[in-house]
Amino acid sequence: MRVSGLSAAGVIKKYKHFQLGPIDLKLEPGSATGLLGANGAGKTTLLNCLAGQMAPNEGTIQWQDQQISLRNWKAREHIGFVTEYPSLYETVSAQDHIQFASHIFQNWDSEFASEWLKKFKLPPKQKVKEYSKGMKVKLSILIAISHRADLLLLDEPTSGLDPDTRFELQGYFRELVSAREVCLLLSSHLFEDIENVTKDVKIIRDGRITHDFSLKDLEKYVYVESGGSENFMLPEETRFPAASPVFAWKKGSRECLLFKKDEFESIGESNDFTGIRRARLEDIYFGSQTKSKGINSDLKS
Amino acid sequence: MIGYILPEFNKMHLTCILCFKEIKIHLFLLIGTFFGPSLFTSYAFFLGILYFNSFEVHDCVFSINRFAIFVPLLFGEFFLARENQKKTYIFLRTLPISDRTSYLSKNIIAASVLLFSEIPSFLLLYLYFDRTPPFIYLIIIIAFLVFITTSSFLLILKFGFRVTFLITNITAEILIYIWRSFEEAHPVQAAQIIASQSLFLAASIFLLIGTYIFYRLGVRHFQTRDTLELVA
Repeated sequence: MRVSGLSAAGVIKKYKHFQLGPIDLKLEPGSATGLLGANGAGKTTLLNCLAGQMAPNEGTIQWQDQQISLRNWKAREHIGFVTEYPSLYETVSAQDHIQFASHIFQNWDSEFASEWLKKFKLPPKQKVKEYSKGMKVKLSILIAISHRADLLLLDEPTSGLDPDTRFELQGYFRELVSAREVCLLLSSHLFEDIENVTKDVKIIRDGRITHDFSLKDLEKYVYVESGGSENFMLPEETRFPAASPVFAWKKGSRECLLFKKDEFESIGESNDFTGIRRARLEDIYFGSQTKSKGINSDLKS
Repeated sequence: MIGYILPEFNKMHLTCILCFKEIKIHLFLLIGTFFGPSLFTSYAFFLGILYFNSFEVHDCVFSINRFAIFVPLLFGEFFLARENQKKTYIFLRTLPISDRTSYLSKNIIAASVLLFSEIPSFLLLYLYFDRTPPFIYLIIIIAFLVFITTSSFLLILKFGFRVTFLITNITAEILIYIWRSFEEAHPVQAAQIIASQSLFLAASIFLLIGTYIFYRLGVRHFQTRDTLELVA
C-alpha cells in the first residue's frame, strides 16, 4: 500500500529499562517537523527506527511505497540520516567519501554534491580526521542529501557546534525543505534549532509523543508568571475559574502558567502576575515535562 | 549456483566497491600485512637454515609458518574490529548496501590479505612437506579466518575472537599431537592414508561445510542486529 510521506503505525521498541512507543506518526512530503525531548526521552531510538537502523519489536514504518526496516536496505536510497556524532572514515578525504557514496547510490547527484561542497566550504582533499566537528557534520549532511533523499532524518546534528555554524546549518536545512521538497525530521533539544527550521513540533517524553502542534499555534497562548500570592498553593481550577491553564509548572519560587489567549483575556490582570508575554516553544516544552494535574491541553498528541 | 549458495555474489559490483574502499582506507596497513609476513618468512628461513644451520629444517619451517600465520590473522580480524571501534558501521549502514554484501566484502579482503601474505609460508611447507596438498592449507586458513571474524560478531568484540583463536589453536595442537602419535605407532597405515589423500579430502569437505555454516551464522547475526548494537 502506498502512503503519502512517512507513516509509522504502532511502533514499539523495547529495552530492559525503557520502552519507546507505541508511536503513531505521519509526516507529509515537503514538511519540516521538530522532535523535542529531554535526554533519554527516546528521540534517537525513534529516529533510528524511522531510518531503518533499528528493528522495532512491533509496528510498521513506511515511506511512500517502501517499507522501512532493518532488512530492507533498498529503502535507504530514499533516506538521508545524520547522527549527532558523524561516523566517517577518518583516514580518507571528503572527496573519497563522495566518490565512494556516488558508486553506491543509484540516484547520486554529482553536480549537487559539488555545489554543496563549495557551499559548505569543505576542503575536498583534506583528511576527515583533520576536520572540525562542524565540518564533519556538514560532510555527513552532504552525503545524506546528495542522493536526492526525500526523507531527511537529523539526530541532533547541531549539538556541540558553535552558534555561527548552527545558524548557518539552520539556513541550509530551510533551503533543503523549500527547494527540494524534502520531508525533514529534526531532533534536537535546542529550541532555536526547532524554531528556525521547522513548522511543526512533536514533543517526546518517556518514549511517547505527548504533544504535537504547529509553531503557529504559539500565537494562541499567553505565558504568565506569578509568585508570592497567598493563593499560590491552591489548585489552578480554583484560582482561575474562568479559564484553566493549559500548563502549570514551577520554576524555582515562581509559578509559570500557560493560558489560551482568548481565555486569559477573560481573567484579566487582577492576579499577582509578575510577567505576561507571548508563549514561546520553551514554555510549551517545560510545561509538557511536568505532570499537568489533569489539565487538558489541546496541544496533546 | 554460487548465487544461490551465497546470494551476496549477485551484487558483486557492490562487493568490489566495498573491497576497494577497504584498500583505500587501510592502504599502508595492507601493504605492511601483504609484505610483512613474506619478508619475515624469507628472512627467518635464510637466517635459520643457511646462516645458523643449528636446527632441523622441518622444525624451522614449522616455527616460521606458525608465527607467520598469526600476523595476517590478527590483521584480518582488525578490519572488522576497526569498523566497530570507529563506529563507521553507522555510516556504512546508511548506504543502500545489504548486510550480506558488507559482511562478504570484509571477509574477502581479510582472506585476500591472508592468502597473499601466506604464499611464502605455503611454499616452504609444500617444498619441505610435499605430502600435504597445498589446498588443505588454504582451506584451513580461510576456515580459521571465518571462525575468527564471525566469532567477533557473535560474541563480545575482541573477547570473542580471542576465545575462538585460543580454542582453534588448542584443537589444532591436539589434532597434530594425535596424528603424530598415530604416525609413530602405525607408520605403514599413516603412510597409506597420506598417499591416498582421502583423509585430506574428507577433512577439507568437513571444514568447508563447517566454514559455510559459521559464515551464515555471522551473516544472520549481522543482519538482525540494530546498528547501535554493532558498534557498541
